[in-house]
Amino acid sequence: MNDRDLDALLSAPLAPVEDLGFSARLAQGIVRRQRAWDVLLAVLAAGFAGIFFQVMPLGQAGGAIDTLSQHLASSVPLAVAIAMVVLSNSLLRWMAE
Amino acid sequence: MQDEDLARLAAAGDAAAFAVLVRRHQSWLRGFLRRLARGDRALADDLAQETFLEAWRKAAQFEARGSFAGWLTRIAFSRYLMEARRRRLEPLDAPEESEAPQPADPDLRLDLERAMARLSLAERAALTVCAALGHSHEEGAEILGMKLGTLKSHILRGRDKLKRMLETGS
Repeated sequence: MNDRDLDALLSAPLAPVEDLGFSARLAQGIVRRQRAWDVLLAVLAAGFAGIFFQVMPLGQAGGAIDTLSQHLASSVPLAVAIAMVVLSNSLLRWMAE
Repeated sequence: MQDEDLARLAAAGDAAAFAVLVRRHQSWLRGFLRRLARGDRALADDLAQETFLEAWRKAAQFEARGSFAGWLTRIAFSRYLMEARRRRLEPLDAPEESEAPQPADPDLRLDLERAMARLSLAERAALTVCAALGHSHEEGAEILGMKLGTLKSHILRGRDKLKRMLETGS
């Protein structure tokens, strides 16, 4: 056997391997892993939400929102800022017309 | 669509794009691993599956500087090395098997596979990556994690041994 024959033999492509469901099984495996990952994330999120509401009960959260709205309602600078935004918006519309 | 575009889609979580890559590359990759595993089809297919799963997980790490096939070959080779170490199959530089000579087969391809199986892992891998898979010596050295000079000497030694074996039919 000379070098050229050996080169030709070595550079011949590898014998083709029939798929026979290999790609489909692999794709199914990937989808299964993805679903398992999604379920794990959902369980973790639910777990964290449960712990959050356990530590901070809804009644307290409602109270906090109530206090915040009272503060916002009695804030003079906030009222002035809102009035300025509404007035400038009206002025711009009037000028456009 | 090019491999690199599909790999980019796979990195963004597109399983359908990755499935195209698997269908496109499964044949040669399994053939490569069969040659490394000296014809053990079950082991080669298990490792091919692990290679693709690792490629899916690490798709975001693929850089389009090299070819997708080269990247896949690198993962497959490192998987085979790990498995060979775990099963104590063969170290990278083990000498070839010294079994009794086999009669020559009229089918040269079959002869080549038999002769290949008697080379060291490094010689088999170097010859396959650079000849059958068509990578340059530089790419081959990077894929197999060897120095260029080491790769070239594995190729030369492997070729000499193959030539002798194919000539004498042993």
